[in-house]
Amino acid sequence: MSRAALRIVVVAGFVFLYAPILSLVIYSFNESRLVTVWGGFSTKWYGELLRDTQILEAAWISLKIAFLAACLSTILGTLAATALARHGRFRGRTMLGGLVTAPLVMPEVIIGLSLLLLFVAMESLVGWPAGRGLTTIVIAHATFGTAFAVVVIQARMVALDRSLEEAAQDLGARPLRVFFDVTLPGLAPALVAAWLLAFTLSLDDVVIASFVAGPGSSTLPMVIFSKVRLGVSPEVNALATLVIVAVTVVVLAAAWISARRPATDAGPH
Amino acid sequence: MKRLVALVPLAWLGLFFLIPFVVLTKISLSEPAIAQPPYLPVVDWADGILTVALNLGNYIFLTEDPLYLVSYFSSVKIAAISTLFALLLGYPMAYAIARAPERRRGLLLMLVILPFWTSFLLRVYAWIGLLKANGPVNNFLLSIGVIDQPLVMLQTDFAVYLGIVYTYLPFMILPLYATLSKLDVDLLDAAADLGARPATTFLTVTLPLSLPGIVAGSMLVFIPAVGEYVIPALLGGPGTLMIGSVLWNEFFLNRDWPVAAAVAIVMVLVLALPIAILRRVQAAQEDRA
Amino acid sequence: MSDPFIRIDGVTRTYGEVYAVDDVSLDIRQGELFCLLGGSGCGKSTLLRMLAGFDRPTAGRIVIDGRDMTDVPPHARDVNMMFQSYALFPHMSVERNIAYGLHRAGMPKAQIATRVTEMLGLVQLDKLARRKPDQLSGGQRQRVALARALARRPKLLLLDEPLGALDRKLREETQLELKKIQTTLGITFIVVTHDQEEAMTLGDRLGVMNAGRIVQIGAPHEVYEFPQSRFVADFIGTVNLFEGTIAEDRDTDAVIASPEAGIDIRIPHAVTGTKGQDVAVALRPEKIVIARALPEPYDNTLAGEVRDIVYNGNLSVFHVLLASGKRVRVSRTNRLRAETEDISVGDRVELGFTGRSAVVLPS
Repeated sequence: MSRAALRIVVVAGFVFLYAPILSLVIYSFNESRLVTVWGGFSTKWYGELLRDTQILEAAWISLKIAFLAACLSTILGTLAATALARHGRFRGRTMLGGLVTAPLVMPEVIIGLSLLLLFVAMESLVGWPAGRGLTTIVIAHATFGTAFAVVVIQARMVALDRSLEEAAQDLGARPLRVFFDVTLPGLAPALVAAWLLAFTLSLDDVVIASFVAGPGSSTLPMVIFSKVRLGVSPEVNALATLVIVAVTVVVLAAAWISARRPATDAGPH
Repeated sequence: MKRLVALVPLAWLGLFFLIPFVVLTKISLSEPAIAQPPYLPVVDWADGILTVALNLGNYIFLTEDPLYLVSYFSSVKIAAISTLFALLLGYPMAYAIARAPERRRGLLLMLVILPFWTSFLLRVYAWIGLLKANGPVNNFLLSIGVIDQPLVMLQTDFAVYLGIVYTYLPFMILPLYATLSKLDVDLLDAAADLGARPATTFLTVTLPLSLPGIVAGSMLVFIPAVGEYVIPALLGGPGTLMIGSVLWNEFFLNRDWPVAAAVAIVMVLVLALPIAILRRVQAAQEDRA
Repeated sequence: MSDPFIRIDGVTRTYGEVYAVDDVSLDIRQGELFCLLGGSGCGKSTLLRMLAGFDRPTAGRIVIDGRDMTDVPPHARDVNMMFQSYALFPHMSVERNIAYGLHRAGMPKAQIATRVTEMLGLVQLDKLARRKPDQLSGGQRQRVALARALARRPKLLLLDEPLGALDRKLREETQLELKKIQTTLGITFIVVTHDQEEAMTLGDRLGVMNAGRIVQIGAPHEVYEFPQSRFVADFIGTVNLFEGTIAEDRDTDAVIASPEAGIDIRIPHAVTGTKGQDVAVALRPEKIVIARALPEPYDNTLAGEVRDIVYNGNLSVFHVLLASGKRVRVSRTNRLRAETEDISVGDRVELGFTGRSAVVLPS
């Protein structure tokens, strides 16, 4: 393939990736309800969105779930990554290694269905969790969020110079102290990335949530899904635009911070 | 203390990932019933007698109604075709990024990953608007005169392919980029020095060395695509048969939990081979690293 | 003799079937600078890690200053280590790195500040106290690592390839500086290195390791001049080995018949071994005199043809082919510029050496 042809494919690829996103933004400012017919510039759908209590409530539920699930995922992911990257061979290592990667390749419908069946069975056996709702969704999201968190954190942990931890030990720090003084600061970027990833995944999931949600705990994706199954909705376009803006701001901020760091650190050698 | 570090995630994932599969298997072997929950127990303890009522009926049912077999087959077909298109688009993109000047690589990679961070649901939804009869794609094709009446794209298999390629393209590009960026440029120069034309160099050096990336990327697209539900639900038509949708309907519409569980178990079996292939490629790459 | 400061007693470390360290016993005196020398995988680093407490012996004991350390975790040992990678905490400044161990020891704040200043002075980094590790040069980082490890005044300092990451010129300066600091503080140092020159310059004594065992211990000149095995002779410096058998062995002299050398090699002292036993005569290249015609007689004289001359600047190495087909390496200091040209490739030359410079090794 010649250079020019390669360039065309790459440009086409990026257009393919971004055109739909761009179209969401453009149509969110469309006066017309018929989404694809341009009826002039308007911000009225943003107003409608802010008055839609169903969407607002669902968004609030989703944010709560995503926050809790992301925190749980990061903690569980850190523990699992520590065990896998630092504890050498131990009983259950293969098991843990398998369990943290399996959710990554399991279709969502299967995870959702099997978790629901577990919750139902547990409820009849031990009475917990009583019914389905926020708790069951948080558990489900934390479970697959952990799998993603481990990937991110373990990669960083393997790259961290192990002799740093040994040096701290050598200088008199006990294991827990070593973790907080040396390991955790080294892991910080990965922990932030893992948290954000788990948060995003939770905020985005419709399939698993549909299985394990109960009455009154419809998440934002579930509400959007039921709306868009009936066709395009300008309100959803407005919502999408807000999501895109938020993600872009976070990503740019992350890029700006990581680009700035070496610049301030570099001094004369 | 040290033991606790491994034990906590092990217990969590064991309880909320492993045991659910045991329950899933158990329920796939139970008889449906109009009850709450809607199935009969497999293991019963009554009057001091343990009865195990294994019921293969749900699995036999899957073979009797052609809907299921056709759906499995069609899911694999749709996933395979989408994977192929994702590879055809993803490979040149990954190659170009890997060969781009170093300072631009980070930005290009970020552009590939960025859509993944915005809502998957909303991005699939965007295609509904784009593919509509009076949507921008048709309008564009009409205006340049390629077609004289709008194409029906929405609610077709074509839209499903498009949705899958679009959604999972980053999963294809990232592993490909990982192998291609590690490829020593000296190898390409050496091949050229030994008389290989660019096309020959590509076929004899680049392609074989990037095979692990091709396999890993393809599996990462193929596996979730087989079980996909949202994309066919939003973009597919009544003729689009996918096993994820069958499972969904079995569960939510027919409320037949045992059959839904049997559908899921068979799906896991169908995916066992691609998952095993993916594992092997990833393990081999870790060993080398 | 009183108990040694450090006693390594029958220490073995296995990983599965592999013996990383195999029954090593070693005594080290207080205030000594001891070098563990060996190739990669010889077990020297494993031994060092067991002294620091990062690894536990499979068998044997390690006693430091009268206390059995075998089961003491690293953070509770009066032993500090300077890591090969330096392992400076990237998120802490130079002074915080140096103070880290002092905080862990529970030293009062004021005292910590004094000690940090003192350590910074010792390694001449007073002006860089607030820098982060990635704002330092390689040599500066090496000195921070040293200061951090020494700050707690450990009984024993372990140094893992301490100069390995420095370039040649800096390494030579740092060797002397390191030795000076060690003498000033009187702390026992154990240095692990694969670099024989470094080991000889630094060490009061060396222990040469091979395949998990210590094969020879001694002062640098003893190990170099009197290697006890072919391995040591070959590992340290360059050596010519002539295979032969003991032809005569008397109280005052001995004769080794060596077809490879083409002569009977005369040794002016008794050798260990019996008549007829196979031995090898080891001879360093600088112990041999080379000339087209030797100006004075030697105990032993060989004849051959120059096949190669490797010019190294300060000295030249001549590769001489003997009639037996054996190649001998001879080095000569280039005292005069012109001298490099007095022998050329293809010349017939004479090689002379005294039996006193040779070492007879068991085969």
